[in-house]
Amino acid sequence: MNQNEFTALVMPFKDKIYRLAKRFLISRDSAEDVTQDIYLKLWRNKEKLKTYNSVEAFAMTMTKNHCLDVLKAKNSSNLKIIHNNYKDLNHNVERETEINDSVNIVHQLINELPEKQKLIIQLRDIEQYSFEEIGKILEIQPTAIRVALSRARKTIREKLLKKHRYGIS
Amino acid sequence: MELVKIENLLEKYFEGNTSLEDEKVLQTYFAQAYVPAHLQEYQAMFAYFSKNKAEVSTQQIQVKPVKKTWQLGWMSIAAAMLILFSIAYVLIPKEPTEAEKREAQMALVETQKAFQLISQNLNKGNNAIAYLKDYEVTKNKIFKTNN
Repeated sequence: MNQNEFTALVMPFKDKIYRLAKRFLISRDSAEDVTQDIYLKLWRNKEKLKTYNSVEAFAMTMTKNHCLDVLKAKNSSNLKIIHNNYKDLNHNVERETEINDSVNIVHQLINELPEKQKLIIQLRDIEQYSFEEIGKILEIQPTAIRVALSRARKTIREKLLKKHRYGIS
Repeated sequence: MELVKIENLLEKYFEGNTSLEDEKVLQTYFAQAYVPAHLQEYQAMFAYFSKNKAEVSTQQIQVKPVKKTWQLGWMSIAAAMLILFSIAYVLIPKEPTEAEKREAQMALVETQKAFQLISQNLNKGNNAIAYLKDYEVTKNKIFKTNN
C-alpha cells in the first residue's frame, strides 16, 4: 500500500478520531497527540489494514484503547496533580459561563456520565454510528448499547430540566 | 413538520428507539431558530451535538517517520565506523618507509662512531692510570708504613 492509498483509506475519519480522543482527554493538545499516534500505528500496520472489515471501526477501537492507556499512565504518574489543576480551572470557567450558555451545560452533563454512556453518546449522537458499528468499536454487545444510550439521554434530559427550572425560579 | 410528530420522535429518541434517519430529522428540526418553549432544553442538546460534530483537528498528520528512523540508523552506523577507523589509524603502528629506514641506519652509524670515540679516549685514560702504580711504589720507598 503506498502513501496515497493509505491516505485515501484512513484520512476520512481523522476528525472522528480526534473528537473521540478529546472526549476522553478533554485537552485539545492531548487529543491531537493521540490522533498523530493513531495514524503512526495505522501506518506501521498498513499492510494488514486491508484484512479488516472496517478499518474505521478498527481505528476507533484503537483510539479508545490508546486513550485509556494515556489516562492510566496519567493517573499512575505525578502528572495527576497537574491534570487535576487543569480540570479545576476548566471547571471554573465552565461554571462562570454556564448560567448563560446552555450548550456548555450539556457538555458538562455528558462529561459527568459514566464512561461507557459518555462514549456511546459520542459515537451515536455526534458521530452517528449504527449500533452494530458502536458494538464493534467498544467491543460490547449491540443489544446493550440501546439500553445504555437511552439511560444516558434520559440522564442528560433530567439534569437539563432540573437546571432549567432552578434557573427560572 | 408537525409538533406532534416531533414529540413522538423525541419520545422514541429517549428510549433509544430512533433510527439514524429519525435522529437526523430531530437534528434539523432543532437547528431552526424558533422552537416552542417546552422543547427548548432539547434544543440545547441537539445544538451541542451539531457543534461538536463540526469540530475538526487542525494538525497535519505525518505518516513517514518510519523512513526517518531508517535514515537515522544508517547515519549512526556510518558515524560508528568513522570513529572506529580514526581510533585504528592512531593506534595501529605503520610500516616504516625507505627514507625512515635509511635515517635510522645513519643514526646507528653516528652513534657507533660516537661510542668508539668515547672508548678510545677512555683507553688513553687507562694508560695514564698505569702510571699511578709507580707513584705507589715510590711512596712506599719513601714512607715506611706501619704494616
